[in-house]
Amino acid sequence: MSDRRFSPLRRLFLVPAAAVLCFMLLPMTVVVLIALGESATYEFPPRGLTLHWFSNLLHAGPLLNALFLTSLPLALTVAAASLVVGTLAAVGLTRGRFLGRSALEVFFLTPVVFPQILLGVALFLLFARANVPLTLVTLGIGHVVICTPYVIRAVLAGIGGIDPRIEEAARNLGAPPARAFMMATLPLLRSSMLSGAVFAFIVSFSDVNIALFLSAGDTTTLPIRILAEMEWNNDPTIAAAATLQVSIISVLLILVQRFIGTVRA
Amino acid sequence: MTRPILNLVDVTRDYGNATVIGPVSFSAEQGEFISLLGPSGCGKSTLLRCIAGFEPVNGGRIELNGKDVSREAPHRRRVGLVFQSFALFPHLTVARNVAFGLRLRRTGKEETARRVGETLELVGLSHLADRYPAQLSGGQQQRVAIARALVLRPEIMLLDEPLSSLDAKLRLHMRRELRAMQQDLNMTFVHVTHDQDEALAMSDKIVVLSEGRIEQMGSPREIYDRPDTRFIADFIGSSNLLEISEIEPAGDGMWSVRLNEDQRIVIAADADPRQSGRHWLSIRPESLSIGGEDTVSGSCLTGTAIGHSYGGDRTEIFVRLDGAQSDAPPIVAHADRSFDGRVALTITGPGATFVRA
Amino acid sequence: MRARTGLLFVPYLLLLLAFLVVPIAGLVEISARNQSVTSIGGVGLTMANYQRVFEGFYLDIIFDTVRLAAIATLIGATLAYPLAYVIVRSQPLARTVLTCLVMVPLMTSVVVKVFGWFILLGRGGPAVRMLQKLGIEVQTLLNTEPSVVVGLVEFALPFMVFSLVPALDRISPAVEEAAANLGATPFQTFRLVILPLSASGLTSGALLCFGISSSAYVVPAIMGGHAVRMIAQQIYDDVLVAFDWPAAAAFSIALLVLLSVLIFAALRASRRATDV
Ligand SMILES: Nc1ncnc2c1ncn2[C@@H]1O[C@H](COP(=O)(O)OP(=O)(O)OP(=O)(O)O)[C@@H](O)[C@H]1O
Ligand SMILES: [Mg+2]
Repeated sequence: MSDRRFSPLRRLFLVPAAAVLCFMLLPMTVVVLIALGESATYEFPPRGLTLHWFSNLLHAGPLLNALFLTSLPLALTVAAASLVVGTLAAVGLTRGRFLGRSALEVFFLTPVVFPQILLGVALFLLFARANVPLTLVTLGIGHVVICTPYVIRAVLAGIGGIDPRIEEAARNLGAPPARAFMMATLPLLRSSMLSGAVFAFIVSFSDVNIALFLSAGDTTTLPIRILAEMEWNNDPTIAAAATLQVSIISVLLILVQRFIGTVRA
Repeated sequence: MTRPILNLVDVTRDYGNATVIGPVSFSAEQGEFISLLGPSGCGKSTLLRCIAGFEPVNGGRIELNGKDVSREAPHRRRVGLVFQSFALFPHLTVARNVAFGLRLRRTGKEETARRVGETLELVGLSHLADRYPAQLSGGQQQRVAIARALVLRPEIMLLDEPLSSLDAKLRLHMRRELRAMQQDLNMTFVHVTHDQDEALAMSDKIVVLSEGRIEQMGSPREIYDRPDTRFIADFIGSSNLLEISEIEPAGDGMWSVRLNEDQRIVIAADADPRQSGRHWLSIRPESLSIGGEDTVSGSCLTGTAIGHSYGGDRTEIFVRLDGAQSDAPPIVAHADRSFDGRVALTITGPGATFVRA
Repeated sequence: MRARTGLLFVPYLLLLLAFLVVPIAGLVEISARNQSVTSIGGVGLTMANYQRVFEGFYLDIIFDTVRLAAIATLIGATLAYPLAYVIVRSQPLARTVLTCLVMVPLMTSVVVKVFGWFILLGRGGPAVRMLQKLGIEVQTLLNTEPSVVVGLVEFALPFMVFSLVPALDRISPAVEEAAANLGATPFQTFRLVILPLSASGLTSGALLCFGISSSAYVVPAIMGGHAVRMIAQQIYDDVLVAFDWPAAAAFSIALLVLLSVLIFAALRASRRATDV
């Protein structure tokens, strides 16, 4: 026992915590195992190991389209748009000194806690009544609304961690305010911006609640496609698609953790 | 002799394969005030946490009142601990902080109220009973921490640098108060500090630690006047440390000491320093009296005054001894004025002792 | 400079106004209209939709939703504490690994998780076969309230864990040691020190979990089947199946009001608790 910290409670909680963690990871693990199993149905526990279902994915048109023609380009675009809009908003929030600044900050973060399903309904009805056809653009707008707060939060935290004297030093050396910001502060925000953008990507990539209402026909996202097919097609190819989804998200999260530092929810 | 209330026998504590404690043995009598003194990182806090039960011991045993408690969980040991950071419960008022332990012991309402009242009285905080810790000054928080432990009447109290976060003035004041409180209650206190003045002023016994081991243990006077080693002589107070090249008996408990070709001096010692391997001489600056070279005759050291620093009640004179190596630090002597040029140093007080390397 | 950079937030402000505030205002408007076959937005002005919301059928759905969400929140909070505590009191490396392991289910699409539960608990799945081996004849464990609760708990757990972690992080280990030193057993330390000191995280986590659970669609739709009906399912069906938009809108507003009232009450309560 070389653990310096005295914490009998930690020892008592170790087993329950492990059990809870397993519970949390259980369903995802099942999906991954089904995708790797040889059986042609949802057989669990799986027999044998194969990558067959992943190669099968290449012939599964709708799933493939949902992933490569809808979900990925959508999430990338949404991440980029959220990054721009969110960084601007965060910088504006910290630079401006005006009444209601903190109220505005709260307002800017509401989409994180606002019931997404209601936002989906509200946007659907808005577009329907305005006769706006549902396209990737309308879906993207919905996603930018719910993803931008993650960028704002990351950038705000990043700005909070920067010594304001760095920028003052730049101004003292003769840089005009805007340049001082661009040269001194912005580079230091790069990692915050990047982690914010990654989260925006993931939130868009795994969203169902908005897409439930705003994706239609050829703009069906991967989660919606999986949702529609899993109950009716007893096909591990769907599990392979889901596994791909989980893998992309996991790799991104680990990269953020590894290269940018502490991930924040 | 009575049975010690706290007895440590060969206690060791390792982290992996690094030993940070021990083996350490010492004991405390009922009513004693013991200070664990040592430089930062020497294991004082670790030792205290071992006694309180927050660190397991890897060897030896800790006895409380004759009972081996080495394997006892912290909440079963009757040991009061005052944390350096105070560790008050921020969600409870002062009174409820103090009542916390009583509540766990299912003490009755009235008795709880009475004992909390008494203890707050004792530390002089009765008027702040309903405040929260965040609304108190550092000194007040520290009294709450003491009261919280005292109210349970533990067999011993452990205090980890209790005064270190107070300002200088308050620290001196609390020193006296803490000592008075301990004497009034006739409780056993084990107190950790890296402040030698504090240890000298407050303790019945000082245990000096260095790198996890006991370097020397004794009353403040013993430690100061009769340091065993160079480390102690240097760490407690300040001292001039001189390597001896030869010792010869000079009769009558006096020893003739040669430092180098030019320097020879006579020092008193009860036992033959050669037998205990004491080949260094420690001389306190206040035990060196300084004068012009021509004013002194007999046993003295000679050198050149190379600078001084004014210190209010005294002046420190820096002297380069004749024949000293060029990289050796100058000798420091206390005087009431500054000196220049050639000087002679004679030993006037009890502050010259033989020490081990 | 100040004035101009202050305007950088305007794009997002406009975005929120156009695509959050305006749609909700639209929802409010539709909720006060009569359903009409000729106009998709409905016609006239009426409170009838709200009356319907508080009648038998819809009211039952509200009660069931609140009940299931509350149960899921309670269970989620209970399960999240040990994990959050272990994360906070772990060495840096273990902490990073654990954080990632909670992060992945947090960010993974709920569809994938429900898919997993569907296989595990569904027809011919391992859970059913195990029960059958024990002599209990069931076709499926899905389509029950408990299965919905399992799904909701699992969905909400990571949110709860990440709400508790910062609150627990603020508790100094020395305070726990102090409690032990004063005679508290580990469980007493938990009850008397850790729980009250992490109350803020518990409150915000519980609100988040309740909000997520009470507006969940995928979990009850797949894991509850026809046996369980929650608010989001009804809204979905009213919008996309029955085309009864005024009813869906009124129901949405009802859910929103319910959650807002709850959040304000909780905020008031926690503010009062910290004011003392
Ligand atoms: N987890 C650990 N692993 C290895 N060594 C440790 C660990 N924790 C502490 N140590 C070492 O144990 C030794 C004793 O530390 P301790 O905190 O007891 O010192 P201290 O005497 O109280 O010092 P200070 O006066 O600075 O408080 C130090 O050298 C420290 O480096
Ligand atoms: Mg220490």
